[in-house]
Amino acid sequence: MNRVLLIAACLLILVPASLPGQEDDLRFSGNFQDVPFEDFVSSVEEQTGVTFFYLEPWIRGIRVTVSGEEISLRRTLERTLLPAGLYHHIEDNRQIYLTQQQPLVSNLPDYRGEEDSSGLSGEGESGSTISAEQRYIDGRKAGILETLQVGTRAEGEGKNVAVLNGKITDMETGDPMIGATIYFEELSNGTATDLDGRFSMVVRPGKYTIEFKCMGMEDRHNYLEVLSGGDLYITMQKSVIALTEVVVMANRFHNVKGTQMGFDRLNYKVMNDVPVVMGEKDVLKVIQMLPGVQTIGEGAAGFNVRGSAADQNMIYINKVPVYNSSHLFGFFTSFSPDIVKDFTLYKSNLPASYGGRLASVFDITARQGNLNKYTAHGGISPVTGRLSVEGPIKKGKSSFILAGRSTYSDWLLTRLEDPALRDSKANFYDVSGMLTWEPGDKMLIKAFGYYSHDYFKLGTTNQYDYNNAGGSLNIRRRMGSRVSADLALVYGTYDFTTINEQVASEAWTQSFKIDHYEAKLDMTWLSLGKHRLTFGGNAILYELDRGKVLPYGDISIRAPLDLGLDNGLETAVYLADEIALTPRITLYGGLRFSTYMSLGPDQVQVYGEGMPIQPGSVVEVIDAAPYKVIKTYTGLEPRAALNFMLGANNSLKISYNRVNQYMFMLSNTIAISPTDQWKLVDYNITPPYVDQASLGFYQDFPRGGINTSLEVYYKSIGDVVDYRDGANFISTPHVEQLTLQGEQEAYGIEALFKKNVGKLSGWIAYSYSRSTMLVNSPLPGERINFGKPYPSNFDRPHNLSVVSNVKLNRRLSFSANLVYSTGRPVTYPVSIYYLDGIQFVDYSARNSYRIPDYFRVDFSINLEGNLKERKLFHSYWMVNFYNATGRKNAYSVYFQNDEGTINGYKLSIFGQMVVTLSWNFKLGNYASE
Amino acid sequence: MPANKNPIIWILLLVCSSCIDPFEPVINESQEVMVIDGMVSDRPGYYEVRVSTSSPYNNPGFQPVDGCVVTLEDGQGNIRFYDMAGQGKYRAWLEPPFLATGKVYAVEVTTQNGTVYRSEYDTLLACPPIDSLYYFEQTSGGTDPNDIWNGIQFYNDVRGGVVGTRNYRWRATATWEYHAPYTAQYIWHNGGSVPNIVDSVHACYLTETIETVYAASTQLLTENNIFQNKLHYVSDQTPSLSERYSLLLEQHSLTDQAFTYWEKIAAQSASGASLYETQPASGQGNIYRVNSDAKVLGCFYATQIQEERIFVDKHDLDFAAPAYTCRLDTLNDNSTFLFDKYYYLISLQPLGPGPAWLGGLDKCFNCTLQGGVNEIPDFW
Repeated sequence: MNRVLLIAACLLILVPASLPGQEDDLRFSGNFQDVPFEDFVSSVEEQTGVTFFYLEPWIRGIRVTVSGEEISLRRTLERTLLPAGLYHHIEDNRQIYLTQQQPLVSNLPDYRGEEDSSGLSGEGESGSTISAEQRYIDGRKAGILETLQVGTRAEGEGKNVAVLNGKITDMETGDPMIGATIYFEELSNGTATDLDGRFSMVVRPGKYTIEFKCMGMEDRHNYLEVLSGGDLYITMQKSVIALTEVVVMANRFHNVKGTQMGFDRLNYKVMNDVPVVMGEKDVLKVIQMLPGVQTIGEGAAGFNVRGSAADQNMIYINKVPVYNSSHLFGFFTSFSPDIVKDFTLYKSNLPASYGGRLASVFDITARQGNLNKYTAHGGISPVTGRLSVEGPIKKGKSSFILAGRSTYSDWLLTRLEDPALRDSKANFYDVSGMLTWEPGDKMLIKAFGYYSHDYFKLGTTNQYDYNNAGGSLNIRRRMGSRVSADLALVYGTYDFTTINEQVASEAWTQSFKIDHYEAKLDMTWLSLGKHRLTFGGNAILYELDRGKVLPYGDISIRAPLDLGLDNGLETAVYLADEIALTPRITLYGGLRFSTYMSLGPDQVQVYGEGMPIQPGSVVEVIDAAPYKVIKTYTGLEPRAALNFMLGANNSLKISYNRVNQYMFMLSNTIAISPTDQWKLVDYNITPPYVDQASLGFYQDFPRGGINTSLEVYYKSIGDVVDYRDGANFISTPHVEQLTLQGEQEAYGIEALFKKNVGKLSGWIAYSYSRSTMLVNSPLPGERINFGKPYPSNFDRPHNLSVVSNVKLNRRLSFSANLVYSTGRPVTYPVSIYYLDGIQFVDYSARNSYRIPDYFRVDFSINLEGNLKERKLFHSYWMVNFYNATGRKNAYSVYFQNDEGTINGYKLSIFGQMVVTLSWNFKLGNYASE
Repeated sequence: MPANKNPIIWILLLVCSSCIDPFEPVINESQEVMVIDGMVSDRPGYYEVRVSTSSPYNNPGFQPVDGCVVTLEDGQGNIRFYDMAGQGKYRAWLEPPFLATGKVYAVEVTTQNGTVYRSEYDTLLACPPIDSLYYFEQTSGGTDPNDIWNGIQFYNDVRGGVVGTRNYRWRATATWEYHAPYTAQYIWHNGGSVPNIVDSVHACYLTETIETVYAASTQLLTENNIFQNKLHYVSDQTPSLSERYSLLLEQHSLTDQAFTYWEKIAAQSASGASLYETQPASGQGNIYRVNSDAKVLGCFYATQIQEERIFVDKHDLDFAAPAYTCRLDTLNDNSTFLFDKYYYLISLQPLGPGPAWLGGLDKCFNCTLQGGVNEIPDFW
């Protein structure tokens, strides 16, 4: 049954016969228990001879529960459809038209001012509109508000709280709207939808004025009459005028009203509006434009949050950990932009459900396949080609998406004239996919898989090969009206193999692998209006195979060395509550208790008390059997935040949190290199931990769609891992002989100004931040910088990012970036000395100088294809001008002895403007998703 | 092994006209740090200890520290005094049995103001002979990928036994023969020309210490062998391969501590453009100031030395390395009187002096002006 009516056109010309509800009520009988609306319609049509007209996407997910004899069809429809924002009109007891957003106006307004008493409020429990508002509707005045109703009067009898469970979807595609906000004006309170478009809220029964907002969608205003707890389904329409398309997704509740600080959520659309290098859209490059997020330099893997090393960031894509986030060493991100729906960065008070990384959690949500139709996206840039396909498996119920990307960058290398380098090869690809299945209103199942591969061969001497893979099964279920659960089973793996033939007789190969098995349960419990309780836990089993260093080739005499296995079990339980203490004050308090067990097999070296950690100090060797617990660490991690609303649009927030980290990266290079191994904490290396406190002021200007924030933070990290001079991580299984542990201190102030709507949108982010390290010890050999504090490698005080996008019209838009930051710290030679007549340099205290400041301006022009509605596919061109000023920004500065004199050199990665043209397409027209 | 000389840089050169530029940092501090270095081997001879201080980066120079008392102690209470040789150098004649493999040595330096510096004891380990020293012709390039240069790459092999060291340092010294571009037939001076009968400045020999630190260890290998240890590269961008080239390689045995030091120093001086920059290692070696944490640069080590020399004749090469060139002027009788200094002439007339001549300044005829000496070295 799929009858489509051109509703808008047809309904207007319908001859009004009577007001709804005035005709004789149709009656039907039967026993319907949670049946899809479509089935219900079939049955009713058969019984009564009426014909229903509606658009199928509207009724998706609507289920009917009613049983008895001679049931009122009108009331049943009202009860069933109103929560989903649907109205019905019964014409001549023969046709039933469903409409969305607005009820059908079938008579002229009654201006006599008399209250309509047509039964709409008579029985209360099923009224579709309240009489007081009927006039507005009938009068078709501007600002008409429909009334939505939740629950039944009978159920609400004697209760003073009602739990609303709602879902907001895109009217066209059925996609859940992430981060849409629901605001109750009377309560000065609201909530936002989760990653599945769902929200829950506890309110007192009563009448409210509510507002729904979501990026790129028309705002929606309604009256809501809450009779008792119940479901509320809302659909939202895309903004009709593209000019008002929102660039930045960060809603007012998060900015002003939420308790979250140091938080940014953006969606995939922003990737189209940020100029990129080599035409590759990239989420990691976008977040580097946010305050407090920096990078070592162009082409460096990973990112640094608030002065921390890159291994203090957790990157999840649909709960799958990404241990190496870069392709081609760091120039691109290891997952296709087409799979990204939405991304969230937590850099301050981590919710209690997260843990394990000190600096940030970067949570990427994958796109859900289109539930209604098959579609495809793709694009070609000078470096890669990519394609994604998606569509329903069972319409409205389940869908799939599959995205892939591959490079054809080898041609670049063949252009090199050096014969050794001409033999080089570089390639990468990634595939990802997701299945979504929504068996009922209460359950959502997602299965996600991901694989990325990189290979690089430099001439005949070095080969690198690395892979990320993983999958997650995620089940979300609502249990009762107040409790919902989210269970995830996750597997992630990362491995690399490197071959080094620089010296044939010492040629070696090493393979490293990390397996991550995780089960995670997150529960939410809504309590009496004031509390939102979250609790749960997770367990991660890490299995690291640090691999064997093996001779490579026929003549290599490299001694095989087993770097050993490194196993560990990390578990955590947490409990947190968000309490609305007063309408103005919200408190978030949480406690996470984490435990880490270092597991065998291992030959643990125990060093003498107070002795240097070196082979000669070993006093005992513990031989641990596989999975035997060698050492247990526990961590109590309090998380607290307080939001004090100063006014309707501004607030003051304060937060504190502690996080423990049980793994780190073995990296003695300033940027992450493809041969850097992960390492778990163990008997000798204790887990690093952070204490972070933040204070912020948040102000919105709703009229201009402007969000601003000003945050100060201070964090102190203990037991952070640093490395001894010349540490060679493949020389020994006993990593503690290569590492040192110290303290890090970071503080800063971050300001953000975002404009979300209008022709011109974008943001300006400025931060001033400092980050200092201290590695001291009573033993001179275990100090860095003579035991004195030094700026960390990520200490870049001033940072300014400007991202702007101007949409001239629907087809043409311009974007521009401006990035400025203080140069990163560097250790310079400050004096020259001679050994046997040869010049050498002596260096300053560590990191006491800076490379030159970084400055870059980029532009891009985005030209959309024509706006014809009926077309097979829509395409658009993007021209990027990266580093438009051609400034030779220093990536690094180094010094070398050139035939007897020491000379300084500066390496720039993109030393001139890089212009790229890329072409992208999607099936359907301009407006298609 | 660090992945320096990163491949990506080469890719970027395609989009980037000049990614590597000279850079002069503004450095406004200087540390005057004590530098002490020296070594002893088991061969009889003069040994040096050098004492200096580091100089400002912007104004480099060897800053000797004279007037110190320098002694060497062999771990058995035997002490040898070094004589001041000027310019921060201290010299002592040492010979067996004071010098012997297996013994330990430490140097002590007392400055004029009484500050005492000491080195850790370092053991003199036996060093296997250099198994072979050889070269391959190899091309290289500059920062511009279009620059392809011919050249030769020297390598050596080590075949060590089970006894003695597993750590090595190599010092290389190059000597090459080159010729002045022309041989003069006459020398014009004071208004007249005299035949240039004996041309002693046509062939010269230049000796140069290779300023690269080479260090390697076999500790991570199954055998105490090294094949194709990469040494010095000589490109055809200098005239050094134009006639005959020779490389003298000294192989030094090192203890683990001395190797750690020289490996750091080698890595530091070989750092190049890389995406994966590391923090520079400190130049602190095994010398410390007594009763102080003060930084002291340099290292004193004991070693056995093995030597090997190789010659490369221009005829052995598949490419022709350019020689020194010089532009001559064509002269006639009327112009020669203008010269008031020595002017070297080549007659263009087969039968004798007289116009017309080709002539030029002495640098076209005198090889010693390029830095070499005209005495044939004994090993040549």
